Order: sequence, then C-alpha cells, then structure tokens
Amino acid sequence: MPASALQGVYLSLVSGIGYGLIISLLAGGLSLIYGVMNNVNTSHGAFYMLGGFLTFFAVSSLHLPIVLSITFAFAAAFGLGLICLYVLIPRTMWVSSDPDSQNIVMILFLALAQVLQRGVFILYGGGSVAVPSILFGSIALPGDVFISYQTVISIAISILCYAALFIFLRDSKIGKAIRAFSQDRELAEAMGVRVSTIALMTFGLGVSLAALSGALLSSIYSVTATTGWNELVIAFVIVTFGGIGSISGSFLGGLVYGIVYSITQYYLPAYSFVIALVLIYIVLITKPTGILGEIIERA
Amino acid sequence: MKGLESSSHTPWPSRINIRDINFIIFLVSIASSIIIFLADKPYLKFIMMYFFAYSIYTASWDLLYSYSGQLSLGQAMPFGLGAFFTIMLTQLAKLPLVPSAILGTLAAAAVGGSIGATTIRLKPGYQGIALLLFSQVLYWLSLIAYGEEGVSIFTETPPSETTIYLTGLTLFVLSMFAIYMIHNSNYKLKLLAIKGDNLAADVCGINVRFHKVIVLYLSSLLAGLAGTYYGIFTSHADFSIFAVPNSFLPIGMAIIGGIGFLGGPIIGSAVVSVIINILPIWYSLAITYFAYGIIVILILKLRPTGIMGFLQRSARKEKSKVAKG
Repeated sequence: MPASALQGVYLSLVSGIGYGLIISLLAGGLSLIYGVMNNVNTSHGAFYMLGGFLTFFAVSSLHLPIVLSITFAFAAAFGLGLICLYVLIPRTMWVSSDPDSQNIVMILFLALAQVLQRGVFILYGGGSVAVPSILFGSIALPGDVFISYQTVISIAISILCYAALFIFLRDSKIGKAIRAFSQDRELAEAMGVRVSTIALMTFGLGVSLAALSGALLSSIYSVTATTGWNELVIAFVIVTFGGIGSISGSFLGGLVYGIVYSITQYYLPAYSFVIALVLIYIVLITKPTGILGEIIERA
Repeated sequence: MKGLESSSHTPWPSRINIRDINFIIFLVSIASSIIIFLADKPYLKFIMMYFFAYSIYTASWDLLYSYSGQLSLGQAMPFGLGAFFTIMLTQLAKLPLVPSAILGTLAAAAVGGSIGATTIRLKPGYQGIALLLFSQVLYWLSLIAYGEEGVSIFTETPPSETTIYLTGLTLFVLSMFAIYMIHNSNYKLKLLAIKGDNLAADVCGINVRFHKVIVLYLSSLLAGLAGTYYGIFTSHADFSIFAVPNSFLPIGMAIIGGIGFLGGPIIGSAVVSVIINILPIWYSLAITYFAYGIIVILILKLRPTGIMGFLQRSARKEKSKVAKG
C-alpha cells in the first residue's frame, strides 16, 4: 500500500474515532429511551439539531462562555424533553409494549420533530449556524496528522459523559431504579419504582444526550434547521449494531460507524453516508437474528 | 378461516353500500371535482391536482398501516421513485408521456415493494425506520446525481391542463374505488387478522409473509402512481421529494382524516391541500408546515379517530335519534 494511502487510512481512523465517539452520545440516548420505555424516539434527530441551536442561542444572545453554553443546551434539552413527553404523549403510552401504542408514539414524536424543525426555521431561517470552538489550534500527531483541540476536547467530554452515565446508572438510586425497571418492569413497580418518574428521567436524559452530541458537533460541523434526519438514521444504525438498550454497545457501535464513515469519506466523499448505510444494511439482512435479535418478530 | 374463504365469492357490486359514510364522501369528492372542473377556476383546479395526488398517496400509506399493521416512515420512497422514473423515461429514453407514466409507476411499485419486502420481518417501529433509511439513501443519491435543480419532464407535446385534471380525477376514482373494494372485502379481514396477531393468523392458515408482501407492493403501486401524477402536473422532481417531511405528509393527512377509513385519506388530503396552498398566501411555508405539525399533534391527542371518526359518530347519533322516533 502506498504511503499516502496508509496516511489516508490513519487520518480516517483518527477523525473517525473522534466523530464516532461524539455521535455515539446521540445513539446512547436513543438506546436508553428504547431500552427503558420501549418507544423509538423519532424526534431524536430534532433534539440533536436543537442542541446546536440552543448552544448558538446561549453564545450569541445570552453571551455565555462556550462551556456554559453547552451545559445550558444540555439542561434546556432535558427540560424541554420533560415538557414534550408530559404534554404530548398520553401517560399510558409512556412505557408500552403494545405495538399500536408504540406506533402512535412514533408518529407523535415524528410530528414533534416537524414542529421543532419548522419552529427553529421560523426563528433562525434556513441558514447554517456554527458555535465557536472551546479552544482554537491543533495537535500534531505522528505521521503529519493534525487534530484540532476542539475535537480532542469533544472526545474527552464524550468519554466523561459515558463515565458519568455509567456511574449514574450503576450507583445512583434513580439509576438503579432505571436498570431494575428495564430488566423487569412489573417487579420494579411492585418494589415501589414509579413508572412516571423513570419515564421522565429516561426521556429527559436521552434527549439531552442527543442535544449534547449536537452541541459538540456543531462547533466542528455547522447545523441547520433541517439537520437531524440523517442523524436519526445514523443513531438507529448504531443502536442496532451495538444492541438495543446497551449503552456500551452504543459506544462501540458509534466507534465502528465513525471509522467506516470517515474511511468512505476520505476515498468517496460524496457517497460516504450512502455507502455506510448500504454496508450496514447488508449486515442487517445477512445477519438478521444476530446483532438485531430483539427487533425481529415472526412474520 | 374456512368461513372467510367460503364467503369470499360475494359479487363485488353487492359490497357497495350507498348509505356508508365512506362511500358518500367518495361520491361528494367526485361531484366537487366535477363542479370545480366546470367552474373553470385555474387556481382551484391546481389545488385539486394536489388533492388527487395526495389522496392516492395517503391511501397508499393507510392501506399499509391500517390494514396490515406495517408502518412506513419512508413512503416518500415509492412516491418519489414514481416521479423520477417517469421523468427520466421521458428524458433519457425519449418515450411519450403515457408509456413513461405506466412504466414509471410499475417500476416504482417493483422497487418500493421489493425493498419493503426485505423489512417485513422487523417489528413495525423498526420497519418504519428501515424504510426511512432507504428514503434517506435515495435523497442523497438523487442530490448527488441530479443536484439541487433535479429533473424536468421532456415532451414535445405537453398535455393540456384539462387532460391533466381529468387524468387525475380518473386515477383518483379508480384508486379509491379499488381501496373501497378492499375495505369491504373479506381480504381486509385476513389483513386485519395479520395485523392483530401474526402467529394466530399463521396458525389459522393465512400465509402471513405472502399477504404482507402483497400489501407492500399494492401500497408501493399506489404511492408510485401518486408520485407519477405529481411529477407530471408539476413537470419536475428533485431530491426534496424523498425528504422526511414528504414521508410525514401522508401520515399526517391520514391522521387528520381518520386512520382506517376510506373517507380518511380523502378528507385529510382535501384539508391539507387547502392548507398548504392557501396559507402560504399570507404566511411563510415554514409557518404553514409548523401549523400542519401542530394540527396533527392536536388531532392525535384529542381526537385520534380524526374527522371521519367524528362524522361517523354524528351519523350514528342521528340514526339512533331517527330510530327512537
């Protein structure tokens, strides 16, 4: 293999790991929501977009420092998520194993995504916005490969978030309740775990992870009001790769997707998204009961 | 299932119930279309062309969801393929418009149905996302291949507005009549059995996979037909035809009209055709679609059976009043 090709793979690996770790936060949120609530959040991509715009709003209108702005976006998405779930979704459908209810919830979330995207479009127009980097400049890696401080910091924040999420789910009272609830709903309810608290916490946390992912990536790439649909599909792909309801699976799935995407983007930039999706589709149809086990039903 | 099989030989005409509110709405929509045609108001005619395309498009989604329990969040895929294939056939193969439209619709049905058939083993929610994935793939491929400007119809003898209108009306009548027949047939019962419980339907001797695939092809055929007609009257198709908001359109229209009723797609698409063509006169397109999203949420929250559910309940009340004397 020529030296330039090797450097291309190396560069793609580095940027793919960075992108994959940040986008895996988005997938982690989707996985958490499905794993606990049994509902696919089709507005997840819209919350990703909202993360970028909330950070931009905090920086440009509230004049907050960038780190505080990202924190603001995380907290605001959490609050907005709670309000949306509380107002939009009938309480009996918050956690449901009935396919009809799940479909209705998916359609309601899809309508919510439309409203959020059009709402942002009305407020900010169709142009793209980008938030400033936390730190400017770049680090030189061996082999003449440069990686920006912003990417390094975003990777560090993603890893910290995963660590915090693991500790929260493992050690906190609510985290333990969430895990118990996802394993055996009836038994958890019998032990005093409240469905509404678990659903609200899970949904709030899930969408705020999506918003955090959007906030971090909007300083590397820009974000527009119509951003979010590709990201929803990407999150779904990562979740099915890593295993539904598995946070560590989302972490690994995100890494795999990020690397595949970056390598295809290096060699065939126009088709990177399409090739990544087609490759994953081939995996889905050739190994339908393996990675996907849970999403197959008898037909 | 023996009972179902034996009673499936009822002659078609006996299934038409002229007192059925669905059939009344169907007749009223035909009458309105004829009146608007005779009134010769160009803008109203243009809105009606949207109505013809949208009602067939919505019926295609509703057929899939209400009857067989399969959820498509990427219905824009067969719809867009119908438009693209037809226009490409006029451009590349230089075929006349009618053969292009027929081949384009059939190709959209074949591709949409075949792609959909690979997803039938997934749970409805995941099937929905898998189909969304494909419509996103086509969104990017069409953007890469044809850019933002898309493709336009090439024909030496463009059809007149009257021809396009009457073609739309004919397609609308034929499609809705076909759906009405399925709606009142025993085949619908088979599909509802599949929707209710796959395993139980299988045990009762229904070939679940076969019927799911048949409905997918039927739904793709209708969506492809709607897309073909849409491509003809707008003379254009671009990447945005595969966008998610376009997949959300039939879902929203079915919800507004009422899921599972023949009249639902008709009423829903009439309401939405008026909203998205009239509101932008005063407000921006973003506000129009924002309002559309809000309406869908409100109806799904407050009246999940849509306008048809309300009409049917009112008709039932009226009937019981008459019966009481």
